[in-house]
Amino acid sequence: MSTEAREVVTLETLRVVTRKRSLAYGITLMALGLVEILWYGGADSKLHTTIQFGYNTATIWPVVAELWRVVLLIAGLAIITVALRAKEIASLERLGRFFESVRGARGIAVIIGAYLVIWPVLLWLGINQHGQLRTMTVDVAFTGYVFGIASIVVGAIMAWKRFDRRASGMLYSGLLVFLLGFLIWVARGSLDLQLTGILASAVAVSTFLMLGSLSGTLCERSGVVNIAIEGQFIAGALASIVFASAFHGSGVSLTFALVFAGLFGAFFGWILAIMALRYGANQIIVGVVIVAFCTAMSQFLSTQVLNTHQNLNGSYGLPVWAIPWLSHIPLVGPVLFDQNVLVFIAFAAVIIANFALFRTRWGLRVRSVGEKPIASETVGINVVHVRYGAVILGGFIAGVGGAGFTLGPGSPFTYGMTAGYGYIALAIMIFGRWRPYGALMASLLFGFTIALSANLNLYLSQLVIPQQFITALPYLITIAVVSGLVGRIRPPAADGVPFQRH
Amino acid sequence: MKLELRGITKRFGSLTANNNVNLVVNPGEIHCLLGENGAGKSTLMNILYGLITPDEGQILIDDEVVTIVDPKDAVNHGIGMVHQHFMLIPVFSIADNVILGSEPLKPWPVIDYKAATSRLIELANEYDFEIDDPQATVEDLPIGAQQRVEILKALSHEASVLILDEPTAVLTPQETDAFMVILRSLKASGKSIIFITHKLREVLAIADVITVMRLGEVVGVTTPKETDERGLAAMMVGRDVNFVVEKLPASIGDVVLKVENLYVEDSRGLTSVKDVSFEVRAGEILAVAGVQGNGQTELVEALTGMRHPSSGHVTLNGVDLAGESVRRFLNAGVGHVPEDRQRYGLIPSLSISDNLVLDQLDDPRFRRRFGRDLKAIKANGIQKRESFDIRSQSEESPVGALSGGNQQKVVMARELSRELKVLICSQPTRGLDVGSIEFMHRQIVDIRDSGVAVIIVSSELDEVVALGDRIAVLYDGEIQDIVPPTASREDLGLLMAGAGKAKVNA
Amino acid sequence: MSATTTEPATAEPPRLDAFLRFVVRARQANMFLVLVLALFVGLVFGGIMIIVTQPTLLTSWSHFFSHPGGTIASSFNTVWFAYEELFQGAVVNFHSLRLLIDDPSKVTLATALIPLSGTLTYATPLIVAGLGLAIGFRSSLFNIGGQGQVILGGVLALLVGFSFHLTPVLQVPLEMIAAIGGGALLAGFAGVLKAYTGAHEVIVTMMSNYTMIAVLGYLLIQPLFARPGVLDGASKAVGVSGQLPYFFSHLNAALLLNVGFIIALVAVFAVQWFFTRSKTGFELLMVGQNPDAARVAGIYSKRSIIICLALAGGLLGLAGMLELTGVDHFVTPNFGGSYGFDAITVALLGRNKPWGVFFAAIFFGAMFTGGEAMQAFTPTNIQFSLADVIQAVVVFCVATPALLVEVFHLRGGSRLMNSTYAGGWV
Repeated sequence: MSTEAREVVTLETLRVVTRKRSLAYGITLMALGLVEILWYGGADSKLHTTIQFGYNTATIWPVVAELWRVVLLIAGLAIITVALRAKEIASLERLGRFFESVRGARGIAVIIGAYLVIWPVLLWLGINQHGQLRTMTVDVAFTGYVFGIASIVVGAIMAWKRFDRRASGMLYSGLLVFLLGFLIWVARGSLDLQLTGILASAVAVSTFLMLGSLSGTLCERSGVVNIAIEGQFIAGALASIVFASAFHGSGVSLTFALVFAGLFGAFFGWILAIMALRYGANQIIVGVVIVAFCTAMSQFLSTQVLNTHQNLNGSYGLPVWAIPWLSHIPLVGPVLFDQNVLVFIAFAAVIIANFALFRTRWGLRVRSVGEKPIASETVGINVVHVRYGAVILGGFIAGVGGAGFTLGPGSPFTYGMTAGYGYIALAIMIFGRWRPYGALMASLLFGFTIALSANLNLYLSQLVIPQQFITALPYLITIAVVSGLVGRIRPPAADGVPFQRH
Repeated sequence: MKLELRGITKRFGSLTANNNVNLVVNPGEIHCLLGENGAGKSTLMNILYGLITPDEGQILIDDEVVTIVDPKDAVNHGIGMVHQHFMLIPVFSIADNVILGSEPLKPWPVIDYKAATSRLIELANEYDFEIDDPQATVEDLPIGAQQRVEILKALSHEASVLILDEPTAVLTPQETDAFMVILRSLKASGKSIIFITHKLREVLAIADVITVMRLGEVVGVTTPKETDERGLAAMMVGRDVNFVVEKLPASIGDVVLKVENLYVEDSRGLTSVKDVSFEVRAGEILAVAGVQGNGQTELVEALTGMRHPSSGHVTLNGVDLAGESVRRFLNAGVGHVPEDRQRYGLIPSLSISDNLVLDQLDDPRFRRRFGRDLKAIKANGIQKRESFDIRSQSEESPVGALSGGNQQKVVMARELSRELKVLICSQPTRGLDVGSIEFMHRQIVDIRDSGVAVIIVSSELDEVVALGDRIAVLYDGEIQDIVPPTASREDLGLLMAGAGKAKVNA
Repeated sequence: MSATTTEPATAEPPRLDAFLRFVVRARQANMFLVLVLALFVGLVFGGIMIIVTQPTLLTSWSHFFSHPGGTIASSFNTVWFAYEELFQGAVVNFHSLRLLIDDPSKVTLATALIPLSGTLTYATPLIVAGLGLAIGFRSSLFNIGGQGQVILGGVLALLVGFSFHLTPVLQVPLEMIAAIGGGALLAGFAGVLKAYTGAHEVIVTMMSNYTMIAVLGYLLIQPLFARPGVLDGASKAVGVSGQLPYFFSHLNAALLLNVGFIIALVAVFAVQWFFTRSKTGFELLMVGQNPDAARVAGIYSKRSIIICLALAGGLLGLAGMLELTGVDHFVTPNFGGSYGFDAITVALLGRNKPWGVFFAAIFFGAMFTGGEAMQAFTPTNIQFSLADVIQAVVVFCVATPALLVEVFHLRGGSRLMNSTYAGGWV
């Protein structure tokens, strides 16, 4: 048979497709570079932007600090070299195999190395190390030219060489650079660009998106569409703040408030599971009705009860943890390691869920019932039980995510505070291709755009595009994503299909 | 391990799929279960595997009665099954598919992939399977390799009896040969094998014991030494003709439908209709015989516009319709009674009247000013219900509530109410009771006599012989031969089993 | 429920038989019974919510064992009073009705009917929006983007409304065309994406909601739309010639029922015709119920998907226009509010039947106006959102009849459950 030949053909066509994509991406990058040169580069040459990188740490011995930087620089260079060339160095052969075998390890190593290299260089280039804030002032037009030329060069190489891998990575980096340039341009003149502030709030916002999309991922991996995430958010947000307020927001009560929020979410997950699995109802309809119920209940309870008993709807924030050492890393420290507890919980949940889904027996079974339940049944797996478990757990996670709306920023519950993020979480789940790490990255991206649109208020007078456009950006990106503009996306095969035993 | 089935009976409504079936499988034997489609082989095996609960009867393992209510019980009793439609998860790796359900764990929840992989390779080596990369995704494998994974999965559950449901139906001849080697090595290691098939050649090549089933009953137990292909074919098909259709000799007219060098790919992208050419004339019935899965579905889809052929011509009254839309085919006068009436022929929630006009929404008879003429549609429903003897409460009853025979009558009534040049009926009587079968046959003959070209696709040999004016036998996507209905059943059986023209004539 | 019905029967054996037979027959599941039970469950749930949110009642429940009678009576009274106000606020005011009977010179019938007028006025856009959703549901398409389509329809109608000053006979139809076109375009876009890229309409239409909210926010600060000199974000108003005339405002200024209700009625008839008589409507039904059989019958499902969503969007756009030109005549940043989502629940409650949607929308209108009255007139200020809660419970019960069938041991319930067509993302 010609199956072998056919496979080769498909692989070949795939390569052709990615090469075409590389060409398209390259051209896009060149266009971006041109825009950067014309737009940012064309800015008034006297204009400067001061970028805030977070708080300064006191340096007692400048010489030591200087030496420390040299050490970092060398370490960074070493890491990059090892990550890229380990296989060619005889003594590091085992390390090379490690980089070959563990997917993503090399990328992470290169990123860490690059970070260690870039930072000392930036410091020497003239970061302001005095005063409370660590800032750096750059020339707007100059950055425009540098970013633009770099972008054009990389784009040209991509279009010329036709990478069949890494093309999308290059494009995303190019877009990030473009965005940075845009921010520098927007914040030109008097106001500082609060880079850490924007990024930190982006991470904070992405917390509940992360948990929400993780919930969706778990449910849909098992074959049940959970469109009720919005409802579970509402339930979690309300339940957690009432619980925390009732017990005056001490540490223990906050922990229990999170659990309580999760239980409420799990309850609605359970309802969804019963309707979907026991009665074979349309999962989307059930989900929408659950959202309607939660919305109405939250409005009723907040107007009927919380308005008169404001002691039940206080402002209790989760404690903020600054991880020793790590929180002092410039830029990354305040963004990732100086956040409220829920942020860490969300990151941990993603890592655990990824491990659980792809490494454990439970995960294998969940994925199997979401792909082909009849096949799972023939090897003795109880499809319905596995799905119940996944949906209820998903509800729990979404409920905890809901607590992020109130306990995260430490604000009382207000009606409508979830603002449709539950549905965006679903889009993020699709963007993340039904994978926890994908959900993580997509959540950060969405969180960033959301934080951006909120923070751009500061620079409103300097903005040429309407702020509403930036507000709408996450939604437009979502439409593009589900339309398959970011590549073919394949949901679990049995997603949303009720399972009927014989 | 000795396995015995005693007095198994299973009814689905009025249909008796298994009637008092007895079967004994001794350790280390390859036991072939032979029979036509619908003979009840798969039902029996699904009962054994716990997917279907029998109405009566017992399952005995080593002479002790056991209860098997779900697949888990079957697996625990050492019964493994390779389903006709593989129970593999396409996006999973080989290793994941094999360990699913009995995962080796290192600390509790974590799968020990190292142990899984080494066990997999060990098993593969033991039975001489080639597994290049345990991490390869199953859907990327050729069908034969997928089947090996399916067998490995059963073996990894330490099955001592393996049920193989039509394992060669999806294999190419070369893959089939390789598969036979595997079967022998399994037998050598002491496994019992129940091998379900309707291909005589394979049965004679591999079986120790042959049980032949027909219409839900065991009609004979034999061995390859005691019989030959002709004997088996006779036993499988039956000597008596069940359905006699009275029909006059065909008054054959001009060529209506001409199919030339047609190639069609299936959904997986494999060519399942290969270089098929034939003509059908007005007033004749061309019956396409063949075992299910030999390209019939794709052929019919290509002839009705539902699937675009990769090359070739479908010419209707001189107009080449290949690659045109379903609408064009319908308008050109192609009638289509689809294979699976519930899924393709009817909309179960709608009324009989509505289902009678599904593909005639533009017909002026059922139009009134801007909309549908509900009165005409209802009148049509009343009239058709009468003339086709559709048994229902009223013409407004939902079609889903009707019996299979009455549903098929609705489909047939609808197709016959259009101006047809050619009528294509795929498995027109599958799953129907005797009365409805006779009714359908009468309708088909009548439409032939009215001067329409008719194509019947059926895997029931009786039906093919009773209806066809000519019989084309399809095997592996190719027409083996076109023979007159007077050809002997044995010859037909051999053609259906892919024995080829030369061998039959010899 | 079943326990209480059998109790009195033990005393009177002869009537037991007839009674049981009645119960058995009544338990044959049908949609009417499900609706009644759903309403019952919703009201009971709402009652419980009232009781548990009233501190005084809760206190009395804590003394339940010393005064069981008093506790139950006071709880019942509170709930009853709330529901009475709900009803009066929604349908007719008993007090003015009695005054009318006593002395017709003091009060006119018009005054007594103000609540009913309010209900119907609120229901008008909902009827049309619910019809739009029903069209989608019948083809198994879930247009969750009602809000966006309402906004776009409303905005385009507004543009026509303040730009021209023709006669109402010309301008109102012009507004309607603009609104229908806008809604159809937005939803049709989702249809094109669904048909050609497989993008799920739930996500696309959902996102188009938020996009349209942002667009609305942008437009309202543009000079073209913004009302000069006002900073509350409201737009210019539709000119008098573009407003839908009121029927009874000459009798009482508070009677806001307008021509929109007639338009909504026409829409009900049109959709009824579309569902039962039109060829396209039948094709959409076929594609929704069994896409495979539709393909065999020669129907292009892609075209059907686009047409279906465009029609649904057109109706939602029309709803936006009715909302705009019926009462307020201008657009605020909150325009369209919850119409998109209420329309979903209205369509579910109406079981996708045009007249079902009609009455479901009126039920929603009644709950809204009645809820406001309840909040205003109950001494304990029971919030109007209780009406939303009752609505949600009712819709939950109706959308998933399986639950009621199980809880009340209805017979033949599987028939009802079959109507819930299930599908995934692709």
